[in-house]
Amino acid sequence: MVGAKVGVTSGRAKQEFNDELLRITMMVDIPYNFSAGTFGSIFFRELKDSRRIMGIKCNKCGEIFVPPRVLCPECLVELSIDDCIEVSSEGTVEGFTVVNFPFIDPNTGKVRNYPYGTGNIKLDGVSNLLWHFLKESDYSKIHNGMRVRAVFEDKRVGLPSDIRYFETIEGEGEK
Amino acid sequence: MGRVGIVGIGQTQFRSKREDVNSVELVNEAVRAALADAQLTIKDIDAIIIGNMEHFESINYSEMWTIDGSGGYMKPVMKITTGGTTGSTIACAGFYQVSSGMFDRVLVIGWEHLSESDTTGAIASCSDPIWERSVMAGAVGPLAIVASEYMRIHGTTEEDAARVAVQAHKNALNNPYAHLHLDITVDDVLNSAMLSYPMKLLDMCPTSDGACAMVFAEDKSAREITDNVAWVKSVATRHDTAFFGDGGLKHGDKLRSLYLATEEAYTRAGIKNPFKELDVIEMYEPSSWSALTWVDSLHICEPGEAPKLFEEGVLSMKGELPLNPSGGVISTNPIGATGAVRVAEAALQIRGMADRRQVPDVELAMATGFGGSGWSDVMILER
Amino acid sequence: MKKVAIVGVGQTKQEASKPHQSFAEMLYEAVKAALNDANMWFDDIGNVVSASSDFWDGRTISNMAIQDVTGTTYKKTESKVASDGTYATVYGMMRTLSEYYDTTLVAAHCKGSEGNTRIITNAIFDPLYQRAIGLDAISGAALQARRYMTKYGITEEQMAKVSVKNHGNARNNPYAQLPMDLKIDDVLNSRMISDPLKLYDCSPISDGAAAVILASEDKAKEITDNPVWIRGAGYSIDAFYLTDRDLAECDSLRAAASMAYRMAGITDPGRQIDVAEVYDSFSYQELMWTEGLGFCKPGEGGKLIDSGRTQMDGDLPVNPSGGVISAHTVTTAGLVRVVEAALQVRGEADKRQVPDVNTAVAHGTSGYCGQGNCVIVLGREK
Ligand SMILES: [Zn+2]
Repeated sequence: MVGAKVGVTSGRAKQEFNDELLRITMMVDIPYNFSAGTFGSIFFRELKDSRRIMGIKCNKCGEIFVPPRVLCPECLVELSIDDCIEVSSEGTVEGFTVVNFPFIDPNTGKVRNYPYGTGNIKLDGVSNLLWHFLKESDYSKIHNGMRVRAVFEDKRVGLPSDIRYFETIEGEGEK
Repeated sequence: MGRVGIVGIGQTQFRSKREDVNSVELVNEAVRAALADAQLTIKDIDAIIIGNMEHFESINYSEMWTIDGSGGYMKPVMKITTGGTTGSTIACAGFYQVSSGMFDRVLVIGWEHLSESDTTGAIASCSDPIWERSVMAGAVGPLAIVASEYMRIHGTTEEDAARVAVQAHKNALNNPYAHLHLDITVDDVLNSAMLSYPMKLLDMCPTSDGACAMVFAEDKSAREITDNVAWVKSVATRHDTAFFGDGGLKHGDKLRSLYLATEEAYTRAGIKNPFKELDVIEMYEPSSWSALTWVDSLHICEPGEAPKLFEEGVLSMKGELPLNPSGGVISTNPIGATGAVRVAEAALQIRGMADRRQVPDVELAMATGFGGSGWSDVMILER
Repeated sequence: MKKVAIVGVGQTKQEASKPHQSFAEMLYEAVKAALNDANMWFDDIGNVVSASSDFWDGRTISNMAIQDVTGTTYKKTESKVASDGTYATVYGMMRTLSEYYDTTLVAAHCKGSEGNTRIITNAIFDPLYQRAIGLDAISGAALQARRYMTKYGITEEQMAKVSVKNHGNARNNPYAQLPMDLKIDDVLNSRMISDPLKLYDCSPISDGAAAVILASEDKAKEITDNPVWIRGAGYSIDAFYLTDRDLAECDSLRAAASMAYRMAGITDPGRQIDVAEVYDSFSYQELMWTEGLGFCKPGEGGKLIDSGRTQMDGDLPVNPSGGVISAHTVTTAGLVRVVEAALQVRGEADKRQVPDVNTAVAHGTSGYCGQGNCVIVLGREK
């Protein structure tokens, strides 16, 4: 933009003038109240109450998926809550990144602390990947194939963040 | 089912901020250009398809709001959106709607005014609100994770990726519509800020403002409009499972949806050797790293060979199979329009209207779109 | 032109809130019902068209949530119409007519309970000129109702009759949210929401999902002996700014209907159509839509309800299901109209069945104050 900027703030709408062109800033907060659903609720209840990570085993193909869901994504057979099983809280990093830029977390409206490590984790015995935070945020210390374990929050509320992050299991090497 | 062709193409200037227009005017800029190219007026248009990701401008029912720009007043207007693939999806929809026999001439419009909101936050909100949103950092995060997987599987280096970005930006210098015109070297890319390891600033696409419109017409109508038609030979789309952790982006060695969609598109088009038969590809590569994985998914090389193709110049403007003469998504990314720009650029190549970025003698061109949890659209065009 | 048939329908119960189901679980219930109805499974489906809204779902790319439960995964193509389910039905019909696919699953979901209706519908309005005025779906509709009453002398009693009729019809529909035994006075005396609209003039906001399976002419004959043919379809869109329209008129509905009727060969809709399911977000809208659909002349919607023709025992029942005023699942509500109209044509609408239905109309709307309209004509014969 060229020209001197004059800011006018009135309520929650903000106007920015330059010589000719006007931009109007509005903050639009839209609250939502999402249902975890029948299968999701099992996952979060077990996580909160028992520090257990729940998956679901397809009774046709035998594959195990986290989180539990109503249909097997591979063979599209209907699954029931009885198919939910506890899975390992240890696994292997299959892909990772260290996020190193500021951005507004849509869940909170606040800038998320960075840098932070995040990765796709293949929990032992599980067929798909769980995407979560890594404790390590120095990318020179993270590699694919690295062994990690879940660290749970002491005070759990029934959200994915009840798993604080996955920490490196020292001495286990690659898998 | 008769033939369907593209007879009019209009693109706006793509810039980081188009403050000179509001979204309605932005849409209108592309529509006027497409109609002028086809030498039609809005009266000749039977139906309109509009694509836009409403959270990026925070406009609910944006097809309604833009009606004065699209020319849709008292016409059949349908809004179709699928995230990053929106632009390519509306192109496919233009093909389906004309193929159906319901309409002779359909105008498709993809647009985005990304400077009007926080794009990274809006993209992050595409992840499942309960399960994955808290870890997602826009499109960069998951693409960086895939990059790390590709590195591990194929031993790819950061230089390999940087070379892709350099080629894209070099091509963009020939495209007056492109957002970024950067004359850069591999070192520039390697020394640019680390966004999300291993993704650096110059590996990643920008966010752009702009719109792209096209007119699709049925056989007879198309030939009446122009003798220079880009005919649709085939389309194909593949989606993937609901969670990022499930499928599409899980396999760093290839993008499963693109691998399957190109396979279907080739089969429908009767293409047996895509590397030999295709003359040019406009591929939706949101980053240099993604371009490596995506190229491996096109059935034009063996897994892991993409870096070599770039290094040897096979995919350069002078190579055997030029990729993204336009500069691709790495140089320009107005999300709801991006996939449409791929189709438009491929059609311009077919019609010999791509000016300084024209590849000689293009008979067969392919455009792809990418979005969602690893979704792909493919459209193959012929002269 | 060849025709496309509806060969399977499914819907969930429409409720104020469905906390026990995620979006995916809720939609799966409807999809499974439609597949069972057609005696098909996912492998038999060629492609998918969905309808949902990023604003209502609180999610960019709302269709990401439903890939598995529509059987899409990486095996087939899905595309989302970001509008009402009637539009998705028409697009699904076009994809089937293109001969690329011989079957299309159309699936719509919405949970009105999970977002904030006021903010979401305020976001329909122009951000620069209108939002700050505080317009939303209800206050916009109130402006329209007042204009309609003024221009054509429509009375509050005539509007109330729609509410009484539709909530009464809903008592025959196990899927409706608000079956009620109302009297005209109950409506007139209900709480004023936005003048002239009172509580019982307004629809609730609901959770629910619906699904429809479409098949090409040849395929339909293989699948069922009782196909419901899409005889005609049309859609159109009016000006954006309320101030650019005469709100007492529904020009885009007239255009949509005329497109659909032309395709279906209908010249006298008031006589040739046996039953209609219309998108009555508010009581007065049913009166307007019956005008737009050509059941009566402009301004005569009030007389039409007075005549009793649109009652269950009339010769042109409107909203035997209870309509949208009895359950409003936004992007899904139009697809519910398609499901209900198809059941009427099949003679399978149970207690809400209208006798001898040959031709039915399903109507959907999008935007505010009926800005966009979509009309689908269904029939026992092609
Ligand atoms: Zn399975």
